[in-house]
Amino acid sequence: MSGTRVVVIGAGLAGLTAAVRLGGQGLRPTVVTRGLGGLPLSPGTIDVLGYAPEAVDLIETGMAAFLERNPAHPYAQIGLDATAAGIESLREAVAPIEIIGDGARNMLLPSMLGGARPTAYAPASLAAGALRDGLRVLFVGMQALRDSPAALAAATLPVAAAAAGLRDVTARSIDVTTSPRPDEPDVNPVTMARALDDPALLTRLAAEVRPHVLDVDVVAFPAVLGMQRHAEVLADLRSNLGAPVCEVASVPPSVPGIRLDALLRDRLVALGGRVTLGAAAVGLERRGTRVTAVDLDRGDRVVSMPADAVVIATGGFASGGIVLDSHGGLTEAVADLPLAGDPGPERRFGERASDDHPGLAVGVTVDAGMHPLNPDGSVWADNVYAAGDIIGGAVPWRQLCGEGICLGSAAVAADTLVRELAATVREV
Amino acid sequence: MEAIQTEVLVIGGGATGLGVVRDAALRGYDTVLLERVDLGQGTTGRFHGLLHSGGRYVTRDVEAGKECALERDVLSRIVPDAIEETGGFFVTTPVDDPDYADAFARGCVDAGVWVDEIEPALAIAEEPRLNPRISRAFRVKDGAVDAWKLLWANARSAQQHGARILTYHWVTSILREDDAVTGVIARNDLTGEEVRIDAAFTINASGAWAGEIATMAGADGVTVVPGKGIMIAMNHRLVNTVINRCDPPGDGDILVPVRTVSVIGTTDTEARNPDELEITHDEVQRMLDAGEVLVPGFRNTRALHVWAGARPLFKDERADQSLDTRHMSRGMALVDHERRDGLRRFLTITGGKFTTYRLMAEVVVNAMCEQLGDDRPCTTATTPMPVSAEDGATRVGARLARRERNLHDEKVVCECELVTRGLMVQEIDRKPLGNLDDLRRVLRLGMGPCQGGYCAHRATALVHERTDISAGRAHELLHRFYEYRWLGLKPILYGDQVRQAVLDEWIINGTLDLEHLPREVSR
Repeated sequence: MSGTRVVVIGAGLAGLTAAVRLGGQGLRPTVVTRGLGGLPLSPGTIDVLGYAPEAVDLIETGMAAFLERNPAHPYAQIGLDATAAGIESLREAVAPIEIIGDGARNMLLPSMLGGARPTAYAPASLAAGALRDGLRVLFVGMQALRDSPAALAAATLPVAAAAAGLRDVTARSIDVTTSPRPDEPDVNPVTMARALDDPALLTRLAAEVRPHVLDVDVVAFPAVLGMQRHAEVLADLRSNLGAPVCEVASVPPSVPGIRLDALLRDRLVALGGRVTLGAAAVGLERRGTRVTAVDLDRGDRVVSMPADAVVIATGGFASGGIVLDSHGGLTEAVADLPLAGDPGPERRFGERASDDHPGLAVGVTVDAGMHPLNPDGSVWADNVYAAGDIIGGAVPWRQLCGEGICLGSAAVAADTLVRELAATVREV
Repeated sequence: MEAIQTEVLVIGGGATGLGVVRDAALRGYDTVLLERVDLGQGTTGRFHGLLHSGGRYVTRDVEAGKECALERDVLSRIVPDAIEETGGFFVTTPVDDPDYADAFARGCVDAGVWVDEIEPALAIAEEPRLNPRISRAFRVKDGAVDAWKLLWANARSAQQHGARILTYHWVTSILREDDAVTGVIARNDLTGEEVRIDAAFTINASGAWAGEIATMAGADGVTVVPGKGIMIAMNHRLVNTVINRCDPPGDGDILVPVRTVSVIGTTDTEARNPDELEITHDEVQRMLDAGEVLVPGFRNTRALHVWAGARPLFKDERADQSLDTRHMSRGMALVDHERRDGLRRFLTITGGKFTTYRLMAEVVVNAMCEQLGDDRPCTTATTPMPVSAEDGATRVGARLARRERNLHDEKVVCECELVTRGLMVQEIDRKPLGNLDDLRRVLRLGMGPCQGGYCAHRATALVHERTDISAGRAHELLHRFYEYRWLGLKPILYGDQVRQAVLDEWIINGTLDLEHLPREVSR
């Protein structure tokens, strides 16, 4: 099947994971993407189901009850086994970053503002902050960063942890001034992470923190602990401080997300795949029940890229995969795929910001093989698959389920694609 | 109970009330102003930012046109820093009545409103996004005004002359001795404490709420109809000149460039309650359609925020009581309660419009002086207001220029509006009991494209750092800020702004998990 042409549209977690999984099965997929993908904006945790809407501890039990109440949720088609398979693809791809978590129960990680945020899996640097009874946390604020509210996090965490059922979690904070650019008041977290790859700067940071590491179980840093040398930076800091060290997930730009993004891309290229940037998919060419090509807007012209199979992983509203126009019309951006779950213009958004906004759960409906479906339940095209946030029925930022859906649907889409492509080739 | 004695008490901290307190203070009176929330939190902070040339009124209300023409020049002399002299065009679009232009031009001459008809091609050359099918174009002296900046300048000017300005003070009762108003009892909403203010004279300048205050004083039947108008801020300056439709006043006939955005307005419908102004889907659609008429492609641009304000429209018993409030007098209404209700030492000033607020103040304070038998001339038209040290003139790029100069000195908290840590700290220290919306009104925090998604949590952490509030209280401030922002987002969520709203959801809930943070609700 090495001559087959598989196109993955979208370079977020779903698109990259689908492509890597296809690559692992002997295909050489091309990822076409308009922009950079969503991972650099994501905190870097791998959420499967955090809130249902009550906090979920045991994931399998929580999921079963949740799906009973939400039968149209993407997990009803994806299933936890597929999510576990997707996690394995990610794990292989992003080694040496270790992904912690067994998928059985959620850990609670300290959030940037000191909350106790549930997640199923996380890179080791984030997972090292997992909350437990009696944990004593030292939050390190870095004055050079805009998003490093250590004092507020330390004041919040004990209350938040208690509310989440943990006993005697305590926290303190310090602010440090270490910076690669002492003359500048603002340093971008990406700049900071790259700078901390330098052992000299790291030593200065450690020296500033060390005197405060007393009666502390974990020292919580902003998520800027190294980029290329992340693992060494963590190990150096741990031994230098004589205490466990963790990173706290942050708002964009998110260094943990950028690390995963880079490793996934590297892995894809190593497998013979490629990523084409600046290529917005604007249409699919059909012949009968099959799609034969993807139309790509390359800025100056629209070109046709032949395809034997297509994975659509363009994301939801945030990434432009689903568009709401000024007249209130909802459209899937690539191929005008049928969308489901629209409660109507009057009820899309709640009266309060904190309400559920059902309109934001609008998306594509899929079968168990991740084929987008027509309203009558028939398959939209035999060789088109959907993965990630474009699948409707979820409110991932509230339910904390986004990455699980991306990984699970990517695994199913890739595996179905490989199976069906093989069958087609045999028929021919 | 705390007690304050003063000569003149002004109720209402919008443009009118601040104009009145400044006027009285400049005439040498001892003055106090009470505002129930924050300055400019009512109608003044919720208009389109147009400093009227007067052209809008010349065919219906020549007096109003005249007043605007004079007052816009006065304001640009005494508070130039709050005004951007953008100039304006009245243009006849293909859907406008072609005969109106001649009536308009005549009206301008009659009212003394400066006007200059130019070739439509010249207007289009200056404003390339304008509808290319306009048939007439008139240049007028419109401007864009930063209402808050003007308010703060007013407040500073009054304070320099001894005025005490008390925000978050709700008037709970009005004190009377026989047939005279002698002061009020107010509740300080930040501390919960009551305060008694004894005043030799009380001026009701509470705009759309003036009827309520008059009733509390015992003067029944002062009816002020809230005329609801909605406005939408569009990202970027689609035009650099104020654009007016050359047509009888209608919906969405004005597009005003204000700082980094363009504001389209407005509608006019009678509301029941000035505190409950609903923004409907239809109203938003009408604004967008109207925008298309002025600037083709308008619907493809990004709407940032929508808001509604309540014009105070005084209901004169003698006028036509038609429900269409646009035809009511926009001129000011001075209610002499001594003549009307036999109530002494109490005047109500309402109606009017932002551009003529200084004149309204002059009129009511003149009336007060006359009743008091004082001969103290008004000096507000010739006394410049103290400018803010913050960021100089109201023009696009002012903050960017400052930022460029101080690149290595100041941390930025809000990237969209370039609000620095220094500005934030200064404001927080000045009003440690304030909320994030108070900061927003002074600094424009969270008013740019991201609508607070990136900056609100930073501001919260800063408030927590500078004051003694608990973490739970800090998260409540953050929660409430998002809730207030949402009111102006929900009706215009489409296109790029729905993308932004979902990204903000990913940040606020997906990453920061705001809804599960411990919150403490206080007063």
